[in-house]
Amino acid sequence: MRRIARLSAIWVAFGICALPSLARACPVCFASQNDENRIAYVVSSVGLTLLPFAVLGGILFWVWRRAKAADVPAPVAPESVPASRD
Amino acid sequence: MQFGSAAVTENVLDLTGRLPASRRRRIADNGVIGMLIFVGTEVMFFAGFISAFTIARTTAIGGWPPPGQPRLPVEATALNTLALLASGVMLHVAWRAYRHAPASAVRPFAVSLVLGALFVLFQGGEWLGLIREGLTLTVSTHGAFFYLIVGMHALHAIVALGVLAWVFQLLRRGSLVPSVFATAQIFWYFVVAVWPFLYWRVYL
Repeated sequence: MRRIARLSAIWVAFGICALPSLARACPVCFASQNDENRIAYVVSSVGLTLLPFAVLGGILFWVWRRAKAADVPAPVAPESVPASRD
Repeated sequence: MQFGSAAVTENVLDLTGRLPASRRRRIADNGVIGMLIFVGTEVMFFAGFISAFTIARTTAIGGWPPPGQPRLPVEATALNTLALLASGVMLHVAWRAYRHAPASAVRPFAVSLVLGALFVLFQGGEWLGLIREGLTLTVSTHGAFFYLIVGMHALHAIVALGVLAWVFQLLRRGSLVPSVFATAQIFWYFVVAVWPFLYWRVYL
């Protein structure tokens, strides 16, 4: 019963995704009043989407460069332990 | 068989899954990394404001700035912007001097602090003038966005100036460590770097 309910929910979600025009929520398609407004929406959406990647990517890149610059020497090979004579 | 030679234990991970302290390397100070992450969140904070402001401008009836609203002091703020940029440059000069000889960083650091304080004081004076002319937070969308965006930047600038003032005290006492200086620097550089962009979007 639970499996049927879960499958039904998935199919309903797919159905909703296949009919986006019903929502009429896209500000670029339906709410923008003029070309300038539509361009502002698009630029803002793209900018705000890419900005977190740029910020986090920049920080990670900086950490990576610092890590490369602080490379440690190769680990020392363990000394071979002589076999004991029994 | 015997275990426990120093060479073997040096490469063995401890119970937390880390290399022994003697084998770990310090990539950057915790304060610096923490400040970088904080600055990243503040970049997103201002990006949200600027994005909302940009969209609101394009829906304004009668163009932007709205008719009947006091005009922003573009030229005077341009000079103020130069002062803030000069403050950032002087802080960098202070850092370079600090790396060479800590005592030689006092004067450029003080100049940077004074320029930053002048920027904030001038902004405050500007606000008083605009309020007298009738541009307030609630009178229009123009006023609301102006005071919100510029006010948030001023708040960051005031806090950063407080941090710089504390660092300056440490520098004068001779107890300033490089990591603390670097951490404070990052915050001030963010305040300085974001302002020209805000000036371009809000004032021009």
